Amino acid sequence: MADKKKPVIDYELCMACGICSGDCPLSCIALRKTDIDRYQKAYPVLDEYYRCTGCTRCAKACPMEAIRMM
Amino acid sequence: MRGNFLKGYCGKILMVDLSDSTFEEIEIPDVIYEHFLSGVGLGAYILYKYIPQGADPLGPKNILGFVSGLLTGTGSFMTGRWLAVCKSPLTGGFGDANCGGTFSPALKQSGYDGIFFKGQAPTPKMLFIDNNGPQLLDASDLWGLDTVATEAAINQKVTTNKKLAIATIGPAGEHQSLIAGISNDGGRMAARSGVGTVMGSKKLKAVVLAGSKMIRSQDPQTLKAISRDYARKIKAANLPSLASGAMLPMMGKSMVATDKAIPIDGMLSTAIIKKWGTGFTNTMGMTMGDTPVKNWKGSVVDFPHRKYRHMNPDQIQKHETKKYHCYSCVIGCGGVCDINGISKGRFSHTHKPEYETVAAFGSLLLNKDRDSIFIINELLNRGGMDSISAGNTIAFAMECYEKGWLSPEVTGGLDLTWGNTEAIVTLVEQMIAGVGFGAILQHGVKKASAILGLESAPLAIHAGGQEPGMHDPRLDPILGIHYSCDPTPGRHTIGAGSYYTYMRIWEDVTWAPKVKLGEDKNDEYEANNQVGLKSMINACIKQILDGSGGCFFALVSGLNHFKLFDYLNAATGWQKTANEYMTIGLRMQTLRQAFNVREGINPRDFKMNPRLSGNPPLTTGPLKGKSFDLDAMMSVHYQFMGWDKKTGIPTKTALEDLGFCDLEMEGVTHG
Repeated sequence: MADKKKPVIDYELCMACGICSGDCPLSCIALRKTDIDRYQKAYPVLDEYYRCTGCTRCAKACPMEAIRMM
Repeated sequence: MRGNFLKGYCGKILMVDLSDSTFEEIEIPDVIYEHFLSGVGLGAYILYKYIPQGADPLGPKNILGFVSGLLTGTGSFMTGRWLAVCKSPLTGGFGDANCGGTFSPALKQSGYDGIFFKGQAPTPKMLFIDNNGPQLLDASDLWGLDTVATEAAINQKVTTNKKLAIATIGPAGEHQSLIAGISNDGGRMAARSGVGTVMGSKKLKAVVLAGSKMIRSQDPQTLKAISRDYARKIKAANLPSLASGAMLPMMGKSMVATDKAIPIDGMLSTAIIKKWGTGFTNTMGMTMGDTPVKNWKGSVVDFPHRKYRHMNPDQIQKHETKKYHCYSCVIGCGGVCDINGISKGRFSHTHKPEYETVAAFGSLLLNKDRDSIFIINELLNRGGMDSISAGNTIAFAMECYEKGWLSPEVTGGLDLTWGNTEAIVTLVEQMIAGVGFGAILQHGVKKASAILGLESAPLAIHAGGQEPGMHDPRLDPILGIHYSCDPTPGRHTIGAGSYYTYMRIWEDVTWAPKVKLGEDKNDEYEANNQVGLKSMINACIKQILDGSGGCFFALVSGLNHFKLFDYLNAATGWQKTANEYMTIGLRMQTLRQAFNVREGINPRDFKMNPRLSGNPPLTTGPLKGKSFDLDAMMSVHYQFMGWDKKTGIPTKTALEDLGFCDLEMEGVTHG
């Protein structure tokens, strides 16, 4: 069986709002990537790649449409 | 399926009876959301309905609620706030406290717009909710732990698929300090109104959430589109890279150099908050006169540049290791600071001290030791105590000490001379533990004054029992109206003349007066119709914000950018006008006032200490000679709210106009 698609974050669009992280039912996404903007805001990272079931909730929740399932 | 599952809210609350460990799910009719929204409005509805008149705030009949916002989790930005609501042991009236972090979405992901607690547990408990439902668990082993240690211990012993959202009290709430708050996310505080005291009285140590239920809205695509438009503006709001904290005192001076209004775009304040968080006003507030000094009787002359420069936000941010922001926030005002060195290994880190804490433990006490403020910040966050109330109370004690009313024998040997950092830190530790002289101060300034004697009452700075935030009404008199007229008095986030200008509500609400360039700001020192109308609008929009889970910093970024009314319509499908939403805000505020009246409160008794209205006026600094007639200004506010001009009691006509009769809310319409 092919692997399920996983979220890939487009940091050009992402606002580091944390909605994806807060909405993930398995808390697979952590806010810890700080080298994106001059404020060093914490951006999301898929920390739990193997726990992620590819449910797409993060992608659907993202207001910026910054998450694609790939 | 009920239609309300597609309106942004869950349509039900959980009522937990701690006396007999039972649960009741209560369905909330759609009409209640349409009349009161969710959040503070839903909280007011439940408290009014279920708390019996005259209930002891620290007894089993009081109800403590944790409520989310109508917009939380809908794809809207800046709507991740939750509130704790209860009958306040500090004021005897409606109590609420507002907090961010990750707890608000977790409430709705557990399936409830609010979780309410009645009764009292015989032994310490914590509520745990996951997708299987609620459980009350023993928390005896957690009792006595500070808030950070409690979260760590719960994370150790509870294993779930989803990261836990935890709200907890520390030792201050456990031993019934009246100024105790509730903490989540390692020290974010719902600090005000003594909400942590009520939680402690119920022997409820923590609320632990791990649900992952969906939050559904009417029009998710429109919600996202509004968010993207707001995000574009936020992204573009940046100060020049050369902007430094050293410029802020000069900005403060320039802002008070003119008596004319300059209605700047709220996005400028957003750019400033993005860079420094609330700390931007640590030094700017000194030169403006906004920041109180020496128990509100001093000025920048008493705490001059050589002292306040230590609070320069650039200096504070040198300790910041990463930014911190709440769920759905695109501004990011918070930070995490490394204080391992400062605290000599006692604490590894702390949330970046907010302006309120810096002022309450800086200029208010003439304390120029920045390092001590980092430590005090962490002590209070861990102890679960409100920094605004604690700072005001210590300032009161220091002024009593200065007058010779307190001797070292009474203070347990503490030398409470202004600015004595060591004594301040010790006193904070004593207040949190409820020991030594701190046992007298732990309940806030009103009670401390009562214990120490009536002659100290004029030095006790509070409104209706609650200590004011660190913003001076002598600079912005409308702030003083809200300190004195809000059903939960003494809070700085309800409204001010400056906030009114920033939020540009006149672009949405047709009857809201526009602030024009060059308008005379001195008019706000008079009890005129314009002041009454502005303060009424402030109170109403704040209720709508608190019913939505919205952030104050989004409001002051301007409603022309932060499309609160459009968000609400997209989430619910209601298609109400801004004017109609303002009626909802008025109804919410009126219900909170009606709660107070029912509890026997005379609204006039919430009038803040006369020192804050310039009676007597300051003799130095930018606010020298400034004063206003607070009684008259309270009257004009009451009048515009539809409350009796003399008494502040909602009139029968106003209650009927707001539809309380149709809601069959017994007692409200009696006026």
